[in-house]
Amino acid sequence: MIDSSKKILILGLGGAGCNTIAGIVPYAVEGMEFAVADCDFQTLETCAHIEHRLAIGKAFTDGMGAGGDIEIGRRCAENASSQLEILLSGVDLLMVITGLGGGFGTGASPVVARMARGFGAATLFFTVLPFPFEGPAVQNRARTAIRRLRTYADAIVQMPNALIQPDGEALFKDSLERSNQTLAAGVSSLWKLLARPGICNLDFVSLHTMLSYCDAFCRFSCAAAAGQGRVDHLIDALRTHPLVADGAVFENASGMIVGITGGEDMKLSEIQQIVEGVAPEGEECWLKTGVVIDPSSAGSISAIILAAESWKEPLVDDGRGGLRPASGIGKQGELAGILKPRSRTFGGAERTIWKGEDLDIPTYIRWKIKLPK
Amino acid sequence: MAAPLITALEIGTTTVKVLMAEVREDGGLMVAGIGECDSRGVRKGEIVDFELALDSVRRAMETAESSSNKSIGESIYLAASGGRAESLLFAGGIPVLNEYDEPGGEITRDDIEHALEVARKIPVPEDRIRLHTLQQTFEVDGRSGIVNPEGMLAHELRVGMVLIHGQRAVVENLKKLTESVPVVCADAAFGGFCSALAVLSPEQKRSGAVVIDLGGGTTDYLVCNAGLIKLSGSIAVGGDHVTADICSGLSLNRRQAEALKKESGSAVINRLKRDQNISIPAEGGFSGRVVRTATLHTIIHARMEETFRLIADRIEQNGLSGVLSGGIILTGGGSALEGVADLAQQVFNAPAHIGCIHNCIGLSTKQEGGRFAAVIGCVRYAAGQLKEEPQVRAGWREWLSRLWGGKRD
Repeated sequence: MIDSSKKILILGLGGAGCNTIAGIVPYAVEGMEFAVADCDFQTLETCAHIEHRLAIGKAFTDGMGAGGDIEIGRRCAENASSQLEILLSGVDLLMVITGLGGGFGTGASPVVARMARGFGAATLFFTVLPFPFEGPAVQNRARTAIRRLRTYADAIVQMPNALIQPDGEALFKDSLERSNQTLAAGVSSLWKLLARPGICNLDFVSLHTMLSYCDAFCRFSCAAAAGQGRVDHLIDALRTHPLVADGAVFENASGMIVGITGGEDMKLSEIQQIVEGVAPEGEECWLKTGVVIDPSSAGSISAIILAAESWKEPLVDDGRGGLRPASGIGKQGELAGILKPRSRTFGGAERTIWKGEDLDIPTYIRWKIKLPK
Repeated sequence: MAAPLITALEIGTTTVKVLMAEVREDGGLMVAGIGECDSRGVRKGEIVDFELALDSVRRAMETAESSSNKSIGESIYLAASGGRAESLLFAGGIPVLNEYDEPGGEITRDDIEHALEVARKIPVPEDRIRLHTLQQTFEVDGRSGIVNPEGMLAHELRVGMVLIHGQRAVVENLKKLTESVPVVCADAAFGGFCSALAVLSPEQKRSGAVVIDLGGGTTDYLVCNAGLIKLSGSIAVGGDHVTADICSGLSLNRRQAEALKKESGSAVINRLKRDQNISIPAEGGFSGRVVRTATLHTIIHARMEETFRLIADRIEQNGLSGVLSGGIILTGGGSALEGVADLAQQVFNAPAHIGCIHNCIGLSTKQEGGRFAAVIGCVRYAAGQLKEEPQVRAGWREWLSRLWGGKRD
């Protein structure tokens, strides 16, 4: 059923991440792989039904939470690098669900993203941002974390908690259920699109392109509809999804992936209507459509949209903790004379580029030699 | 008459070297004065700060003058390393006419001169500058490998050439720097070519050898086979890169990394020492640290192996890898690194050793030879140029020696 060569892992980090995963699992499709990691052992107990559980950072927190200290979160993750490496090795797409603003999730996310990148995995972060009433300190921490995460993650989907809540006097329990559902729907429909052998299913490479070009941030929306006039309802629901309702996200998108899942009764005209209904006009948008037929969802049709607000060339790690555009190096030959990257280490002398390789970066880094400690 | 005093200058990334020497009639070199100064304002063989670099050159020249008690005089020869030099093999020729201006005839001395003149006029791109145009063998009616075609019957005479060219901006700025000292820059020669002149013996030239000048900011190389230069070039990777790698790998500052490289560095991972620890003393805000030898050696090994591989790849691309029985000769400051010859031997699969300067008096050649190879070679090159001028029409024996010394236009 699953393209065995591509492994997709859904990882929950920290309290919020673990709870969300625990909430998603009941909605999960068979074959999805989940994992959770936290330093608070109590949280992990609520996830007893999940196969991969990593209790890390016992030395730092003695099984308690990180207490909102990012540094502790980071150290826990760094310390458990061997455990995490085992978990992450061989993964091709890592979807991480985490709540930013706390201690562990905030501190550990950049570390996990960096490791995943080291294994060559594409990383998509679903980050739940705190409510405004949680105070400026928490908000600030979340913002800083996003900035740090940006360095390593391929794409980040920001989900402000306040936006995904139902209106009015909803019960707190329902509120949480609502954000779990939103995430569950998103994660599992994305997973289905990648894993199910569709008529023209979304291939991994397209997603990877999208993730690497989306300038680290992407918007996401998903909806399902059934019955009479289902297409119109679906388009409507997609456009009014809480995460994209704050503006003309689809009209201004510069890159978009549309994934459609439907029963065997889905018509071509419906697919066409949906894509035309959401895709921006003009030729500048990078658009990719994937369609999967799922016999179990007869009569209904669902769609997921990943939209990139800006489309930039991917940034790659320059080996010194910074980022630079990847193409600046590959195209040296053509650009010579106009754009010559200057080396920082060598006092502004021209970089030494040989066959697309930047020889100013230490060899052991480029050859991936592990230094004996 | 006393032999003229020739001054050679090399503006390297790490040091500026000035060498004053006399060339005796038998070709031996007598060193009269040496000046050396830490180079500033030069990175990867290119000038990045003109004023600082000028100051370094002036000081090196003063040291040389005071050590020899002689004045440098008006003109110097410049050994330009770096400049992203590359070589190009090409051939140019002329149709041979007989005395009635009909095609086909005896090749005369004039024909040879004419063919050489035509061949030398190969255009180079705007941003490149020709450093050397060296003649190789002749091709007579498609038969190649002719050393002296004079007197042969032919329809067409072609001559093979190797052009060594560098980046115009880099070389011209080095010349301009010299002229700002102010002294006249009589000629500029490619550093890799100069090193080869200093350390290669005629036997090595015949059997095929590679000279690698491991400089601070650049690595120059020259490959010769059957007595002729076949390939040459420069890679902007050198000792500075090794230091920078150590800085990044061990989180040390530049000076600490440089000292560590010189004292404990090795291009091969020394199995006996791998578990030894080297302590780096505390200073300033730095609280001292202990690093493992294995870590240090791994970093250096990776960089040096890569540098050698880059050269080995180029040699292989040009189909010359089978003809290196003369060995790999290493010169330049980087040749002082422990184990560098062993590593070269592994990578090139040919005997490797540190270059030794022959026929030179006045320099502790065993210790300093590697470092001074380029300037010594430059003096030899200059002497060849001086000797050439009075005898334009030399006999062919004389001409054969020019095969190596080369003639520039």
